[in-house]
Amino acid sequence: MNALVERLAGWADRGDFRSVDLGVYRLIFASTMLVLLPNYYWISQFDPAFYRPAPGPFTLLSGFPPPWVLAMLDVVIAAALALLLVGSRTLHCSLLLSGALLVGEGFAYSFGKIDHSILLVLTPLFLGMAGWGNSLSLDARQRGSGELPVNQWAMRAFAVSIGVAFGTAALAKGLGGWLSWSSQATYAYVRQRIERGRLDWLAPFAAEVDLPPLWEMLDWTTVALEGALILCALGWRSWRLGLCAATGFHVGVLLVLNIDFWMNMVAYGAFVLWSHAPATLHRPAPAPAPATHPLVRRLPPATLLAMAFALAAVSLLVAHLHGPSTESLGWVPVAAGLVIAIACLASSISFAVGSARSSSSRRAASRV
Amino acid sequence: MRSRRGISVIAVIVLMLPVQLALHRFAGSEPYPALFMPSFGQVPVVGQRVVVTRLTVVASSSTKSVHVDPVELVPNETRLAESIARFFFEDEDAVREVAANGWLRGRLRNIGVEADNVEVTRERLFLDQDSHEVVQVVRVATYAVALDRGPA
Repeated sequence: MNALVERLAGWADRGDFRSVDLGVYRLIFASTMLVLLPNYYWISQFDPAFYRPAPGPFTLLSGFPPPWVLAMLDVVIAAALALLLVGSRTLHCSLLLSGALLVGEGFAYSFGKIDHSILLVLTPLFLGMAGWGNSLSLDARQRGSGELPVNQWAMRAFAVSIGVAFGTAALAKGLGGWLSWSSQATYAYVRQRIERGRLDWLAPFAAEVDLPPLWEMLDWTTVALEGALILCALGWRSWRLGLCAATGFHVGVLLVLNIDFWMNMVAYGAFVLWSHAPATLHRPAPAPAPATHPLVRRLPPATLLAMAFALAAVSLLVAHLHGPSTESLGWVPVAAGLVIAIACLASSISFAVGSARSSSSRRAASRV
Repeated sequence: MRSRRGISVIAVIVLMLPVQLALHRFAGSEPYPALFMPSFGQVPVVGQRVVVTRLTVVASSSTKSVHVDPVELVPNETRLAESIARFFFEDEDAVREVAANGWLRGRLRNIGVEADNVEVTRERLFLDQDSHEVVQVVRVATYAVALDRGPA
């Protein structure tokens, strides 16, 4: 029993992430989120009659919170993102951000529909535990010592969480009739959304494709991909391959159903080895990396913090005056994810071809 | 020691898969917070026909009647707006509540509509899979509410 636990613990701790990978991702995450800033003050404009929480802790409340609570929630999220950007008190800010997003989304989903942003909510929690503040941050600068190791198990736990989330969707779809040969569920949803006026991207063309076997194949592929993701989490290379496939799936959903799942794309970015360019499925060789960015080294902490808070204030102001930018920019993370997935696959294929060539030439040389 | 902690966390996450599905089945709808991705619910196909739900809101005064886009009545600009409107107008009691307290009248006024009554109709449209034409319309619910001015 003990040996099994040790083996499982070894598996959980196995990983090729370095703190600089997570540090780069923290910068990408915080800046992306400051542009697509989630905000919840809009909820205050609704009458309490709209309150219809999902089963869970929000049913304990009798209605939406007062406007000042929602305003505070928006301010806390923007401030936590600003602190994450410069990497100050990163672990605390990460936990605070996940908590605030969990509560904010909980109220936003108390109108009857859940919009499945849970992976984005969990990103700061897992990455904070993994140590995304140990590099390219004020925390790292104040600590002054060399590069700290990453808690690889936190990354594994995050990967398994994503696998479980998709597993529930696969099971629910399987039980809901997606695998019935006569259903063509994907086609039915395309038609439904066309009727509701979702006519962007390739939706009108897709609706004209009268090939039931193709639509049925898409149904099966969707369920298979969602169900297989948890198995992909067993190894990092298979996991990154799975995420590349999931990215292709999200691009298809955007083009055909006009649903941009930007939240998931931002979360998948956590598994990219950002310090290794071009992107790849695994780290072929370690590379030295600085613990702090030169800009972070030169500027005084107070200046950096002031700049980050000013950026957060502008983001908050724009989000409140201009409305949510996710409606116009939600496709950008999906497109960026596609580019990274293609680069990742291409560099891995070229690496595999290169390795095969060099090993065959070595074999030929040894024969001579 | 840290590895043991990692394995415990991962074990809890894996156990959440059956627990969440059981909760979903028991509660009848998806819990929150939970590790779920969209399942899209029951496939909207009945006997080779795609089913679409249509929501119609007509606001009327003594002089005229106008069709109102239910999404425009929702003070939200995200993609949640459509579902908020759909779920809300399914609940006649909730609509009566906002009609009585002046909220609905205020929202209509915001989009430039002066009205004393609102009639809500929900229909299921059955689309032919080949021609994409509506071949059958089934009225699910119709109700009318009088708009109050709310507390003075």
